[in-house]
Amino acid sequence: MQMESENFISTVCRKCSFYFKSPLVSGSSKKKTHRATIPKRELTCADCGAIQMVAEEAQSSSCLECGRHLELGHRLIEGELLGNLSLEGELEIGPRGNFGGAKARAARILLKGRASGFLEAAEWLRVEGQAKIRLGAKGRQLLISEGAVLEAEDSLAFQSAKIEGELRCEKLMIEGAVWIGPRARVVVERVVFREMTVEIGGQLTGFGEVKAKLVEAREEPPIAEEISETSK
Amino acid sequence: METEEPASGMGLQIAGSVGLDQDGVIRAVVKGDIRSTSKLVISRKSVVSGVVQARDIRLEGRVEGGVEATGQLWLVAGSVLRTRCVAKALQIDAGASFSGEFKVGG
Repeated sequence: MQMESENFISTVCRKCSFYFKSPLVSGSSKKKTHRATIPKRELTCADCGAIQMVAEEAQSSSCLECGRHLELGHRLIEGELLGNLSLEGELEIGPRGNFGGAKARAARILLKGRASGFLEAAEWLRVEGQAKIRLGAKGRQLLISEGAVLEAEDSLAFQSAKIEGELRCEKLMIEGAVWIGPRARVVVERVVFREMTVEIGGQLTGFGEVKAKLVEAREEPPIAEEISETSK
Repeated sequence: METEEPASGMGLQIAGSVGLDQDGVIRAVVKGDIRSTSKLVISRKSVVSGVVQARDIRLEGRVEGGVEATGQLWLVAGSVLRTRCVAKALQIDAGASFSGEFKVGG
C-alpha cells in the first residue's frame, strides 16, 4: 500500500518496483483540472510596433518579434536612473529624481525633476514643480501645471499643449493647438503650431510660425508687389 | 459714437497712413500704416503693407508690417500676418498664417 496523487496516471511499487497504470486513466471518472480564462490585453512594442496579447496583470513581457524587454507597470525615479527605459504604464520622475539614460518612453510621464535624456510620452507629459529636460521630448500632449516651471534645452514636439505654468525652451513644435493660460509665461526661441490661444494675462515671447502645410487652401490676397502697382 | 456705422472702404486703394478714432472695418489695399484707438477689422482681401495698431483687431486679410493690439488680436482662418505680433491676448485659428515675432501679454 502506498499513497499517490489523486490524478496519477502510472507509478512504480516502492517495494517490488512493479510498474502499473492507474485504473482511472481510461475511465470516464478521470478528473480534469479547468483553468480559469486569463483576461488579456493588447500590447504594442515600443521599438518595432509589433502587437501581441499579454495577461492584464502582467508586469513585464518580451516582444515576440524583436525580443525587446517591455515593462508594463509604473516606475518612480527618486534618485538617478541610468540606462534606457520603456514602460507601458506611468513614469514619475520625482523632485530629486534624474533620468540619466538616453531615452525613456512611457504612456504617461509625470516630471517633477530632471531628465538628462530624451523623453517620449505616448499619452501625456505633465510637468509639476521645477523641471528640466536636456535632450528634448515628444508625445501626444504637453501639460504644464500652474506654478510649474519647465526648462528645455532642446526641442519639444507634441500634438497639443496646455500651458498654465512657465516654459522656457529652444524650440516648441505643436501639431495642433497650443493653449496658454492666464498665469502662464512662455519664452521660446521658435514655436511652430497650427492654432494658438493666449488668454489675457498669459505671456508669450519669441518667434513663431504657423505650420504651412496645414494652412487651408483659400484665395490668396494680392502680394506686396501688387500693392505698390495698384497704389501708383 | 458707438451707434455710428463702422468706417469702411470697399475697393479702396490707399497710399499713406490711415487714422481711425472709432470702430472700423478696412476693405481696402493700404500701402502704409493704420492706427485706431478702437476696434478694427481687416476684412478678407484687404492688404496692409505697413503696421496696424488698434485696441482690438480681427484679421481676415493680409498684413505685412505687423500688428500691435493693446487688447485682443484674432487671426481667423485664411488671414496672413507677417513680421510682428504684439497683443494682450491672442487667438490664432487653424488655417491662419503667421510668421514673425511674438510679444503677447506682459
